Amino acid sequence: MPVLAIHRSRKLIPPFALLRPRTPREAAAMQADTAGAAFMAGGIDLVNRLKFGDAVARVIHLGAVEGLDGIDESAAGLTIGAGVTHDRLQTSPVIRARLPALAETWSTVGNIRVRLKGTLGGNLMAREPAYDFALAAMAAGAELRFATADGTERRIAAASLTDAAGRPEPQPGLLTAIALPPADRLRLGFDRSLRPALSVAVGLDVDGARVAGGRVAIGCAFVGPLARALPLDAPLAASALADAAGGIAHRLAAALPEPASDGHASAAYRRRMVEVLLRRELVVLASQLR
Amino acid sequence: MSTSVEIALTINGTPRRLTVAPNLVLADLLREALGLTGCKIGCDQAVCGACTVLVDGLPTTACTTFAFELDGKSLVTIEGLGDGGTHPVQRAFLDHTAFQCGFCTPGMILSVVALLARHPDPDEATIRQWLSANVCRCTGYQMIIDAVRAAALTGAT
Amino acid sequence: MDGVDPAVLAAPVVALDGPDKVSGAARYTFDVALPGMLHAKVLRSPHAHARIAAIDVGRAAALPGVACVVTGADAATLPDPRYGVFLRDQPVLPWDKVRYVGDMVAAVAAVDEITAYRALELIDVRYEPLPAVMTIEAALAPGAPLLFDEPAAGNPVPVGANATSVKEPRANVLYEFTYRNGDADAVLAASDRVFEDRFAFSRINHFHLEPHVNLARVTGDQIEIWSCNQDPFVLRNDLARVFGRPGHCVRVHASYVGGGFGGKSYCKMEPLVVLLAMRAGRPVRLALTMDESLLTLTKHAGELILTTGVTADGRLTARKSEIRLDGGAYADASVMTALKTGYRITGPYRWQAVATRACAVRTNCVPAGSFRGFGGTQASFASESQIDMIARRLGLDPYEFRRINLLGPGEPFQPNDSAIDSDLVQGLDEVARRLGYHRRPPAAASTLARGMGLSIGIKDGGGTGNHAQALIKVMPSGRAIVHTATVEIGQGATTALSRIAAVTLGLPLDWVRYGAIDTDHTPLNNGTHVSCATTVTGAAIERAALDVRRQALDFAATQLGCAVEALTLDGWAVRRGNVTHPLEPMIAAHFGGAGFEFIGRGQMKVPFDAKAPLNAVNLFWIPNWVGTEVEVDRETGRVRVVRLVAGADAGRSINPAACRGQIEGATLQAYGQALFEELRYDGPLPANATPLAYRVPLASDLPERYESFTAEHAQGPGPFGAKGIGESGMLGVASAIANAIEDAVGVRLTALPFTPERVLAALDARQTSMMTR
Repeated sequence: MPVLAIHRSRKLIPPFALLRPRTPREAAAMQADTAGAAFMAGGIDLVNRLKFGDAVARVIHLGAVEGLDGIDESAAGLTIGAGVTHDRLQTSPVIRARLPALAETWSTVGNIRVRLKGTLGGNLMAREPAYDFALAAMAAGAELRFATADGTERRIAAASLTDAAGRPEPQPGLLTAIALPPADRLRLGFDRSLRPALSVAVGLDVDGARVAGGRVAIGCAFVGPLARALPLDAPLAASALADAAGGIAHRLAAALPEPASDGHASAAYRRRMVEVLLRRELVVLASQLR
Repeated sequence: MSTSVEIALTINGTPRRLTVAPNLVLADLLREALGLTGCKIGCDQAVCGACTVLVDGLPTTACTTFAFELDGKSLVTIEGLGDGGTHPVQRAFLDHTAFQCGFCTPGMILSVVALLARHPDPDEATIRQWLSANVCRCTGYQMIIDAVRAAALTGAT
Repeated sequence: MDGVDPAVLAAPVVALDGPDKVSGAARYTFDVALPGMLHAKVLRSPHAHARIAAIDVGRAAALPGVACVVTGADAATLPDPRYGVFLRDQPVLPWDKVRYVGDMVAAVAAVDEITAYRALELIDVRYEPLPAVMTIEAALAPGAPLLFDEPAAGNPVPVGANATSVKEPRANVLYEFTYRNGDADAVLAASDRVFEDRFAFSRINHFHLEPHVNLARVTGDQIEIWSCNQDPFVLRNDLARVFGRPGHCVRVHASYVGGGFGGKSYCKMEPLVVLLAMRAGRPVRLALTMDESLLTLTKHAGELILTTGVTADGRLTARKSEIRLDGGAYADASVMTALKTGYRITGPYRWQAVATRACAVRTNCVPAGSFRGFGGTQASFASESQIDMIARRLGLDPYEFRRINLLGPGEPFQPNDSAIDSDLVQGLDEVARRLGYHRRPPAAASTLARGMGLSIGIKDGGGTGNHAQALIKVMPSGRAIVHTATVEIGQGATTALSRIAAVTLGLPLDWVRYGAIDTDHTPLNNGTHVSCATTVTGAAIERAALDVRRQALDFAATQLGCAVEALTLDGWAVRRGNVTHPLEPMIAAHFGGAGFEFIGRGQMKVPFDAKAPLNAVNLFWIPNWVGTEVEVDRETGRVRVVRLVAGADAGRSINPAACRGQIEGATLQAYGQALFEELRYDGPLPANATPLAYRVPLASDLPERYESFTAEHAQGPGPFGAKGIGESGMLGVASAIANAIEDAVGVRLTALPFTPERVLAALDARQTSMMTR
C-alpha cells in the first residue's frame, strides 16, 4: 500500500458500474470479460485502493453469490468458504474445537470492524505482506479453489499465491474456498508479537505424536507472504522436535531470500527474528503434542 | 450495468427508500444528504473509527462503506441512539467524562453499544481489544474503559 | 478568592460540553457550512526542494465548476504574504521554491471536491529540482544548499538577562537562543566528574482526528473565517497583516475543536482560504485530509548534547547543552520552541552554573511547530535520561540522586525567575510508592528481564508575559454567560472556566454557559496553549466575576438605601442582617423592559521583566512524575510496559476528572512516541504519511497496568491555588522507560523510539564489550 498520498480521498472514488452476480461462475465470467473490474466482498482493500485513485470501472460485488460462506468438516478436512469473515472464523464452534490456535489468534487480527467485514478470500487475494490469513493458509498447507469463467474449478496450493520472493502470482477466477487438511493431522502456531516487523505462522503435519513435516509462512518481511517447507530430514517425535527446534529454525532462516529493510526493521533483524520466533513456536508446538 | 441503485433500509428506526449512485459513500450520504453530521470523518481510511455507525448492530466505518451495501439493512447513527432520551452508554460517558475533544465520541459510543451487545460483561482484555477499532488521541482510553464497565453494570444492552 | 470550600471543587461535574459531544450535536468547524460555499483542494509539491520554474493553471481554471485557481503569483501581490511566529518565512503560497514534500503550491476552489481534485490534475507545474537537506547534519554541512535566499521577516522574541535571541545567525539556521548563568566551563573544569551524552528526539504528528479545516467568506472589506485555529486573536492579527486590512474588518469564529495539541496553533493555511474566498467571490471551505495534516506540522525532532558535571558525592555542579532542533522547511513556532527547549534543559535541579545554546535548523522536512510539551518534551527526555545515567555511573540510586539535587518549593528555577511551586520530592515519592520502586527485585538474567525507572519532567507554564481578558454577562435571573477566547480543544476549558465563574459568583454551575467565540464579541486572548487557560484566562474570569459581585452589591445597596458594607451576596440575592432580598425582582422593579445585565470585566497580565531570563517571570511550573516497570525480551529486544504511573500537580483541581483525562491522554501520546510512533523519512519522502501507516497508540497498546494521580500542592497562581497541567503527561514517559530498560538489562537507549531492533542492538553491543574485557 502507498505510504505517501498527497491526494487520497473517498471523493476520488470514480463512478463505477455495479455488477451483482449470483454464482461463482457468473462472477468469474464478469472478471474475465472486462478490464478494470475488481471483486468486492467486504471491500476493505478495494475501497482503500479506490481512494488512492485506482481506476476501477466495474465492481463485481459478491454479496449475493451463493456458496461462499460455509465452514464444513469432512473426512477430507475443513473447507472454509472464501466469503467467511474473520469474525465468523474466530467464533466458529468447528474452528474453535478443531483448530483452537487459529481461532484464538484470529481474535486479535486487525480490529473488530475489520474482522466483521473483511473476508478470508479478500485477505488472501490482497497479497499484502502484513495480512495474516495467507500465513495461516500457507502454514496449514491449504488448497485454494477458484471458480473459472468456463465453469471448471482450479486448485492451487496456498503457497502458490506468491512466488519464491513473495511477489503475487496472478490467479484469475473467483476464489471460492480454502481447503485445509484434516484437523487431527494438523497443528498450527502463530507468533505475531513482533508485528509490524515480522509475523510467523507454523503448520505441522502430525501423526499421533510424530511430526511428518510442515510449513512456515512469514509475513511483514518480504514483498508479500512467503511460505517455506519446514526443513526436516525425516519425521521426528515431538520430544525430538523440541531439541531440534534451534537447528531447524536456523536452517530455515539462513536459507531465506533477503528480507525487506524498511522503517520497521532491517533485513538482518528480520532474518534473525525469524529464527528466534520459529524456534520458540516449534518448542511450544512440541510441548502441546506430548 | 447499473448507473444508480435502489436501496431499502431503516435509518434510526425509520424505513427509507433511496436511489443512490454506486460510488456514494455512506459517510457522505449521512452528512451531506441526510444532515446526520454526528458521523465525523477523521482519517478516511478506516483506521480511526470516528465514522463508526452500526449496521445490523455491528460497527462499520461509514467512510469505507458504500450506500448500496445498506440495502435491506438497519442503520443506527449517534443521533438514533437513546430514542430521544439518553442511552445508558451515553449516560456512562457523561458520568465518567469519557471524552475530551469529542470528535471520536459518536463512533466510540456506537462501538461500545455493539461491544456490550455481544459481551454484556466484558473483561479488560475484551474491552481493550474491541476498542482498538476506535482511535482516541485525547483520553488515553482509561476513562472510556471505566465508562464501558459502568455501562455494563447497568445492563446497558 | 480565598476560602472556597474544597468540597465544592472536588464534587464531580458532568462536563458542560458533554451532552453535545455524546449526542452528536456538537458542532466543529468541520461541520460548518454556508449556502453557496465552494470546496477547495491544494496542490502539493512532490519534491523536497525545487524551484518553481513555471505554473500554468489555464486548463484548471477553464474546467467547468472551477471558481478560481491561485498560485504563489497571487500570494506575492498581498501586502504581507508571509507568516510565522516572531520570524515569518512561510508564504501563503510559495512564488519561488517549494521546500518540502507536501508544500502547498497552488489551490483550487470549485463547486465540489471532486471537481477541485480534477482541476488539480490539470495544473501544470514545471519544477527544477534542487538538492535537498533532510537532516540537521546535512543542513549544517559546509556548502549545504540554502532553503532561503532572503531573510525572514520579523524579529526574534525579546529575552531578558543572561539570554540572547538571534535571528538567522548562520546558513540554514533560523534562530538561536543562548542562556548562561555563572561560568559553566570553569565549574565543569573543577568538577570531580564530567559526563557528555548525546540524545536524539524523534518526529511525531499531532494526529488530531478533526483535520485542519477552515471556511472563509469575504464580503466587501470584511474578512470572516470559521477556523479550527486554537488562537483566534493571533489569527485575526495575522489575517489583518497579510491582507493589509484594519483589524476590525477581520472576524474569526471558533467552534469546538476536534483535537489540537498545538497542531492548530498559529497561522497555517487560513490566509490561503481567505485568498480563495476573495478571488471566488463566494465562501470557500478547505478541509485537509488527515494525510495532508500529517504533512502540515510535526513536533520538533532534534539532537541534544548534554555535558554535565557532578561532585564525587553526587551533587550536580554545571551543565552545558548544545541543542539543535529540526525546524523543517518553515519557521512556524520554531523560535519559541528552540528558546523553551534551551531554557528547560536544566530540569528541576539545582546548578552552580549553566550554559545553553539551542537553535532551530532549517531542513526540507515538514515544518515543525507547536506540539504539547513544546521543548519541555525534548529537554526532559535528554535531562532525565542523563540524570539516571550519571547516577548509575556513580553507583548511586537514581531516586536518591534526584532527591538530593531537586529544587525545593520556593527555590527559583533560575536566578530572577519564579520559584518551584510544587513539592517535587513528594510527587517522586508518590510515584515510587505506587510502583514499589524501592522494593523492586534485582534484575534477572532470564530471557524476560524486568526493571523500573523514574523520571521528573518539567516545563514552565502559563506563557511569557501572558495576558487574557474576560467578560461575564449576568442576567436578571442570575444566569451567566462567560466570554473568553480560550478555545475548547478537549482540555475541558468550557467546564473549568465556567466553574471558576460559577464558584466565584456563588451560583450553580448549570447557571453558567461558556459563550461562543467570535472575535467581534469575545474579549482578546493570546491563544489556547502553554497550559495557560486555568491560570491566565481563569484569573481574568475570576476578576470579572468579582466585578459582577461588586456591581450587584452596589446596585442592591442603592436600591435598599444602605451601605454596601451592610450587605453580603449570597447566591443571587443579598442579605442584610437576617433578611434576604432576591436580586431578580429588584432588577425588574428598577429597570423594567427587557431587564438588565451585569457585565463584569476582568483581565490578567503577567508583566514583562527584563531581569528575568525570558523577559518575564514564569507564571508557574509543570512537573510530571513518572514511574514505569518494563519487561525486556533479551532475544527480540521487545519492550513491554507492565506498569505505568504518571502524576501531575494541578495546584487545586477545578475539575478532577478533566485533570485525570489530561494527564492520561498526554502520557499515552508520549508513550507511543517512546515505543513506536514516528513520522519517518525515506530520503526526501515521508515514509509513512497515511493514517494506515502512521501508527498511534490504540487501546490494545495500553500498558498492562496504567494509573495516574493528580496532586494538589495548592501553590499555583491561578484561582483557588490552581495551575495548568495539560502538557504535563508529555514530559517524563520517554526517559522513565529508558531508565527502566537500563534497570532491566543494563543498556541505555538515547534515541527515540525504543524499537525492538534498537534494544537488541544495544544488548549485542553490551555483550560484545563485556566479552572483550
